[in-house]
Amino acid sequence: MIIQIDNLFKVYRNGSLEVTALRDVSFSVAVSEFVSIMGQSGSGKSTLMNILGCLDTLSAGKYHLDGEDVSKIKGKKLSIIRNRKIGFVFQAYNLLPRLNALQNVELPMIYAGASAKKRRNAALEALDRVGLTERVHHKPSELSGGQKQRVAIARALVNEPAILLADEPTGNLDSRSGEEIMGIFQRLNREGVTIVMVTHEPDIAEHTKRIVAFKDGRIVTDELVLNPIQVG
Amino acid sequence: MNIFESITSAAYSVFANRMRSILTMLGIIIGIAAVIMITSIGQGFQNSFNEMFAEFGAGTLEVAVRHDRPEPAARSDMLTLESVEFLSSHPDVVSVTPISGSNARVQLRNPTENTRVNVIGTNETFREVQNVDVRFGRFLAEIDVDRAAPVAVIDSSLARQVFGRTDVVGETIRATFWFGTIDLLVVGVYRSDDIMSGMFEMPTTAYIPITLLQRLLNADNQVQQIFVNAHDLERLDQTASEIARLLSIFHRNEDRYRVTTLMSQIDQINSMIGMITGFVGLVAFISLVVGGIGVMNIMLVTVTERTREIGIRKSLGATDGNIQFQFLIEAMILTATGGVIGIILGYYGGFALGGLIDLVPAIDVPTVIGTVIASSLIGIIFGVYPARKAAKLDPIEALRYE
Ligand SMILES: Nc1ncnc2c1ncn2[C@@H]1O[C@H](COP(=O)(O)OP(=O)(O)OP(=O)(O)O)[C@@H](O)[C@H]1O
Ligand SMILES: [Mg+2]
Repeated sequence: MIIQIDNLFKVYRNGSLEVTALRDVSFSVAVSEFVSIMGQSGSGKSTLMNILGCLDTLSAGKYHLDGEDVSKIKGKKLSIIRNRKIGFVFQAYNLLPRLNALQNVELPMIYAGASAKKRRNAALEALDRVGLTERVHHKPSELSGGQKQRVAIARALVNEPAILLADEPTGNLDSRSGEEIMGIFQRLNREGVTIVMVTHEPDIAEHTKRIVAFKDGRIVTDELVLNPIQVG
Repeated sequence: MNIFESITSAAYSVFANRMRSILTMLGIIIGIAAVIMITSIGQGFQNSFNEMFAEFGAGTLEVAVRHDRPEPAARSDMLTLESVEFLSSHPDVVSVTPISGSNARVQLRNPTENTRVNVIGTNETFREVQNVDVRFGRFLAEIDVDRAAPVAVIDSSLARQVFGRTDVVGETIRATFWFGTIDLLVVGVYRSDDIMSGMFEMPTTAYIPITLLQRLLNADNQVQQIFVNAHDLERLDQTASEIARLLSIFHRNEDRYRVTTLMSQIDQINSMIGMITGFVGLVAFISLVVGGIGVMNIMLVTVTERTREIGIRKSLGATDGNIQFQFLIEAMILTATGGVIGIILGYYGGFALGGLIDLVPAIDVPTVIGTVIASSLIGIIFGVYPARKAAKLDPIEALRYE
């Protein structure tokens, strides 16, 4: 299993106010799976993704990532796990505006300590995998939303992580660009990349192989998609 | 990420905010420029001062009557040409130079106008004590002193004021003292190299035989000051106390004379210049600290503005250390660049200011290197807090920041 979580709880405390965002969530993701997570607003999807991405800590339960218990890891070791094991794609792209596409993709490799030459080659290759061979020297502000998200996906892939996590990757895109992104995900998944993504839209979720639905911080359904919509 | 890349990336970010960066650096630039300017002027002043006294002065002792004793100095305690004569016979002594001063007004070309002149009465050995750069004619000679001859060696600028030219040997000047007027034959013209003469309209100096001045002042045999040049530099301090003792015996009094080495006076002036430089340097240093606080302020703003960037970098695997280093380097680049600009400005500022007061500023490599290191250190010291603040940001909250 790439991801194995058991009896996961997440409680937010703001002074005396307590919000339980995740209640007793257990599930696992195997190699080469393509999972979408659905649910109403506030059902805990982003909370789960942030914990899976080692950006946030869990309140109770266990989380094994790629065979390693990461529930208690902190500080520098956690940064290294984020860097090597996880590729995160955000709804808002989160590219650095002052760097061009290529430099943005190189960033995770900089923190991995790769040489300039190795970085450049790997970044160009990752951009190629998401179908972006032109405009690699352009700043994010000069790219379309779909292009920006492709740069972000290339950036998430560049260190060859164990898992690709995407929180509403198509949320800011029109349906055609969203469809393109799903095509890229499907191709990557065929190449062996394990993907977990959050989406609101059933049409988008139908492109994946498995749908996990959340309600009030709990998993309510977990079903395989019989005939995923194939792009292209 | 290696250091070189960190520096280029930080330099890039500093450059991207050019205007703000320059404004942030301003405090550092001014502080460093002030430090460089002040130390170079102070050093230049010290250099020219030491140069002036280097050849002379080393073996020179200054003899003066002490007026800080409880009982006032009696007439018999006064230094006279007899004292000069007496000291001349001492085996350790090369020359003895009496000096008395007065002032006079010298009539200019237009007989209704005159100028104030310092008149120094001395003898032919004066040039052992202080450099006199005689351009035309000669300095005072023994025969002038013996005869109390009405002759003078004048400053070239006085010559220019009176005659409109400097080659005036053989001309006479009319000098009016408070007790009367005398015509003096110019036997020599010297060029003054007084540091201050370029800056202000200072009175010029004329040298006349001490005997003549005594006669004019009705001062019997008295001299105000005696300079003694000694043979043995090693024994200068002993010679000084011996001269004081011998003079007291000669004048039949006790502990009435102060004999100081010119060197000790030079040292005193040097240490005074050093103190002034040090003090002004301290003020400049305080302004550097203020500049550093300015840098800290802007770095805190920068960290807040770039919260989202920090969140993104952390989500991609940047450690707290990476983030802290990034902002520390940026602060350091700001202050170090400010330092370099300050050094350049201070260097030229020193020359500009030096030009005004006819002084060559001096700046040494250790000072420059020290200043660059100091400005970088200021970056580190005042960059640490903002950089730590950046490093401690929670990635989720940072990513949520708008
Ligand atoms: N930092 C926080 N402090 C307190 N409560 C929080 C915090 N983050 C999330 N929550 C709460 O946790 C619950 C789950 O939020 P989450 O962001 O995971 O929802 P979501 O399923 O991603 O919703 P959406 O579809 O709108 O993105 C919500 O009730 C939310 O208010
Ligand atoms: Mg969400």
